Amino acid sequence: MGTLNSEFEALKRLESEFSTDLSHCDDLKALETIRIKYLGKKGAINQYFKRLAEMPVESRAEWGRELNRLKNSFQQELSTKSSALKKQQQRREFVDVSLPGYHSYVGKRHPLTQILDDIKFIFTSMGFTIEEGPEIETDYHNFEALNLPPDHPAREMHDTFYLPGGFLLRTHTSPVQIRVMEKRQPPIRMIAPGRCFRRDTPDASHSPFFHQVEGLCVDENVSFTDLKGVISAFAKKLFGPGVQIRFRPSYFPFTEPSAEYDFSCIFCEGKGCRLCKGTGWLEISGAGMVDPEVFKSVGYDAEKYSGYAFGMGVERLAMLKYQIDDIRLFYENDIRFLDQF
Amino acid sequence: MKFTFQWLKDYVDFHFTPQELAERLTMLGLEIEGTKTVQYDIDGLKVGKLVEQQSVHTYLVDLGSDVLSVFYPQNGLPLDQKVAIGTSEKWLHKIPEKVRRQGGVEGFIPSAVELGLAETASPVLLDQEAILGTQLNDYFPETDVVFEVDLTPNRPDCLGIIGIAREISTITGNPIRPPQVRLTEAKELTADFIQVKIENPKGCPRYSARIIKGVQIKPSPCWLQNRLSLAGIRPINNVVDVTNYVMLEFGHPLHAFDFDLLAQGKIVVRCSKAGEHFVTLDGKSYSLNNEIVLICDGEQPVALAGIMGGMNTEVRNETSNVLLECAYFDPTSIRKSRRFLGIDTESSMRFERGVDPNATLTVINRAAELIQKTAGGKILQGVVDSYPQKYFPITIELRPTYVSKLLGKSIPAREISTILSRLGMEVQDNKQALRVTVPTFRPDLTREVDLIEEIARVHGYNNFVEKETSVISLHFPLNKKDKFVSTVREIMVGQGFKEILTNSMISSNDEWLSVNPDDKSLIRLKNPLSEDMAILRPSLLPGVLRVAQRNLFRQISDFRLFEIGITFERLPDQPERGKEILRLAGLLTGLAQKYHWLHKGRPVDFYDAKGTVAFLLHQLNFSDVRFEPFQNWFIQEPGATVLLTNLPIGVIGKLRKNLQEKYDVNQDIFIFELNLDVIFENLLEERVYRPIPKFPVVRRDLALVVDESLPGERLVGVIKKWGGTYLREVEIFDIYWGKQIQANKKSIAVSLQFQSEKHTLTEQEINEIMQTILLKLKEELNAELRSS
Repeated sequence: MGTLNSEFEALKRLESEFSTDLSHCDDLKALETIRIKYLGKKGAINQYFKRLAEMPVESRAEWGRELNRLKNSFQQELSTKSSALKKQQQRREFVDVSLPGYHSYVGKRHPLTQILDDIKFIFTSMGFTIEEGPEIETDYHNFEALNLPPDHPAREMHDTFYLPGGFLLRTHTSPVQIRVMEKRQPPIRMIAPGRCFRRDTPDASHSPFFHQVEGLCVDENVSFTDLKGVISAFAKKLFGPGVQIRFRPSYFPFTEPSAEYDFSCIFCEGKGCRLCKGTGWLEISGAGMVDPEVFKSVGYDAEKYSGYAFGMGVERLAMLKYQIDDIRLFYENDIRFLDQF
Repeated sequence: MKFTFQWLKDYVDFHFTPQELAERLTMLGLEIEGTKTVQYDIDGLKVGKLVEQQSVHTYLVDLGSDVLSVFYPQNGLPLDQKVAIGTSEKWLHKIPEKVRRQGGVEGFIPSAVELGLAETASPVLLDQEAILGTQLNDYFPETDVVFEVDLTPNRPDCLGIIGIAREISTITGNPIRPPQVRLTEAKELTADFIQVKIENPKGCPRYSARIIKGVQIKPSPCWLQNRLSLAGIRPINNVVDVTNYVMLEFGHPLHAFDFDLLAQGKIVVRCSKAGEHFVTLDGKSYSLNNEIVLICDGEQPVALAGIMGGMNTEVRNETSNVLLECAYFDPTSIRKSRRFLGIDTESSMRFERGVDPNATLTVINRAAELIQKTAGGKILQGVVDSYPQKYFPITIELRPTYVSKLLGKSIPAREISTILSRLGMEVQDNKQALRVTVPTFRPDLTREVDLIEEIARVHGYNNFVEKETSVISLHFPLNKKDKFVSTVREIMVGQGFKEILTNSMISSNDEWLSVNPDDKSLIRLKNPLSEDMAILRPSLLPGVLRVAQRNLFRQISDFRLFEIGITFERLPDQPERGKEILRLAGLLTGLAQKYHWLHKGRPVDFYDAKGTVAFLLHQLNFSDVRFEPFQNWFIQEPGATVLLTNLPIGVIGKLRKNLQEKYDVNQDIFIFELNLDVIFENLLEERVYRPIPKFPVVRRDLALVVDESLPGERLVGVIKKWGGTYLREVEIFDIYWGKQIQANKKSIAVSLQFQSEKHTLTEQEINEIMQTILLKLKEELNAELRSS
């Protein structure tokens, strides 16, 4: 034990140490640590109280007074600090509801997938199956079986990518029809969605790869009016009940009669606008009654069975639906584009 | 093909406006791609004849009632020619000031180009029949409409305006009016001057020839130039222009030779020899193969049959005797030659679609008549016509019942007859069926079904009602693969990935390929559009990386992408066809969570990528999915192969630094690619419900000290192996390296959950299992319980 004076000096130091601790404290948890350090059961004040017995008697009263003063003062300051900190914490916990919330990454299906899913849903709900076939095709399935023998003039509408060994990248999903008919007997009611390839230089309306949905229905007594009925039902389900359809005569080697089909303009309701070039109609794609030559190549009896087939371009429908003016946007996959759908 | 409204009216009457005409033709299957109205500023111009040249630029002209001195700004006009004269102020203003001041000049000869009638700078040249002093607009309509029709390849008959007139006639009932030809022939016989020998009757089943002697080659009269120009054909001279004009009328090409340049008065049609050379009339030289049909004279080739004539015998200004050719060439042969030579002409376009072999005489006579009219001369008597392989009209049986069955609507036999007759067919009613004879100008009609299309399109496709009901089979198969792919897509979208679609053809200079060591399995297109799209993608990753790069370059730095698509691989046993594999590829870059001011987030790391793949496979109901350390030429550490038990299904990891640098990207990229075909084949059929246990879960935590290199999965594996039937779950919840652990060791803290479906587990039961686990961990992995 040192001199009495030095003991009282120690209390002064304790007081200033406390002040420093308190000034550095900026949360309630730290404040509690300070309380325990000074006022806890084993805290500094209690330690000094224990020395009371060792004190000269004449100094005991003063020692006790001084300690009590310190204890009160500490309690006072802790309580003040505590309420200040509580206030500060409340302020910090205040939620500004106008600030942005947390975002997670938002996944999206590609706009072409979205349209394709709509198309699949519409046709499966009408009893069509979904069929697939290879992207690398034989000349036979892509052309010959579809009544496009070598040197047929219509082959020039299909600028084709060739692979070694006489294989090619399919120019339409029609070969899937052949593959299905080779395996199954009528009735057949199918769509074949998939990627196709044509040797077109890319520009705003052409892409050397694109997506097509081909439809086929073969049964006894399937007629041209059935085809019109299905196309009409599809148009109304995809674009709304007010959409009308129009068929124009055309030519495809795998259908006879053949048609191009149009939808009444979905933007101006057929009145004529910039998007339908004032005609009131939007060209969609081709359709027709399955040519007997096609039945011959898969061994169906063309006297017994008849059928219709139709095609549609997925990009074309998506471009119409979303008023997209450049097909290349689909494959650039700019996130600001994808986020819009 | 182009034609004009007024021109069409020469061959058929109709009351449609140009807009209605376009609509009607389109609905008949002749799609009108566009129309253009032309107007001519010809009001007030009169017909005059040049009688005398007064000076370089002034002529005396006879206007019938009057003779005037007129000005012509260019040189050299033939006397006796009838031209258009302008006498109004507007035209007089075009005369140079100096000439006007001298006085006496009262008219002006405008050029056809000034009037918009033709593209040549010559005056408006009129036929000799034009009456002096009459108005020019008696000879030219002041306005016309040019139609551009996009013909399908099956309609060669409509590559001539008469064919289009026939289509109009089918809907109006007005008969067509083909030009009536009245030839005045000379006494001299054509056959005395020319011999035709067809050595290749397959390539050339018919060759008809005429000779016109003493023609005068000059610019065509303005009406002829006008119509050719509107149809998009450049006028050359009167003889060549007539062959083109008649081709536009009948859809049947002709060719005119300078007869005097044909050696020995002979035409020989033969096949070319490989290596033979030929110079066409546009001065280009071609090296031939052995399949091209050639028109030759007594010595050498003079034309590529049906495609283009030769320079050696073309009609020129000095030509006075003309040999006119009108033939029928085999469509396939012409198509092959055209493709081989790369020459696409008005002529080849028609021959390869199939002209009418029985029309050559009509066509050649019409052309001879018009040549005589515009170029003078005498037409020798008779046509030398070699027709070794005759074509006859075919007859098709047509059953009205079948028509109704296929079209879904009953069309009366009388209407069928009317439609087919108007299309030029002969129809005989033969009880059950009609016997229809198809003229040879419709080579596209060979079967009953072809006639049905004719009936349907003339009846009007839009006069068939849309059926509202349908009978469907209830036994159609469902497509499980398609559903599986949709599920995969859904799970990826649910994890915040954006779907992209990229080109199946990648550049032969792609960054990806530049480091790919395995170029033997690549499939290269034989005829790529360019080197930028020459290789079938062996992986989806090059496409996905390209999209990531593009977005990063556009300052979008935090995203997750995926693509589902076919990739291609050359197989050793099937070197050509190539194997198609359906894959899923994914990419993560930037922040793991979207940026927020309160929680600023961290960059993505391996565990984000792994979590995505593990979650996907978990959702697909796979239980034994493993990840083993792996690196290759595109994945660096940390990387892994993904296995279903022991079957590899894909890879995952960090894009190699050198590739990242090649893509010029300066943030970490994590990628994965899975084989969806294999995943689909290994899908478990169905899920079976397990009752939710009623008894409590007992949780025990272990902290184990193991070798630093031990994969966490192995520790979990040993626990699972020895954990007994009550062990439900093992989860790593902490890994610690540091002061309190020996060097080369780490501490792995795992949480084990036990549960019985039948009773509440006792302390003793659990302790026994824990003893076993600890023992086996010590034995198999040298794992020690960490002392606290």
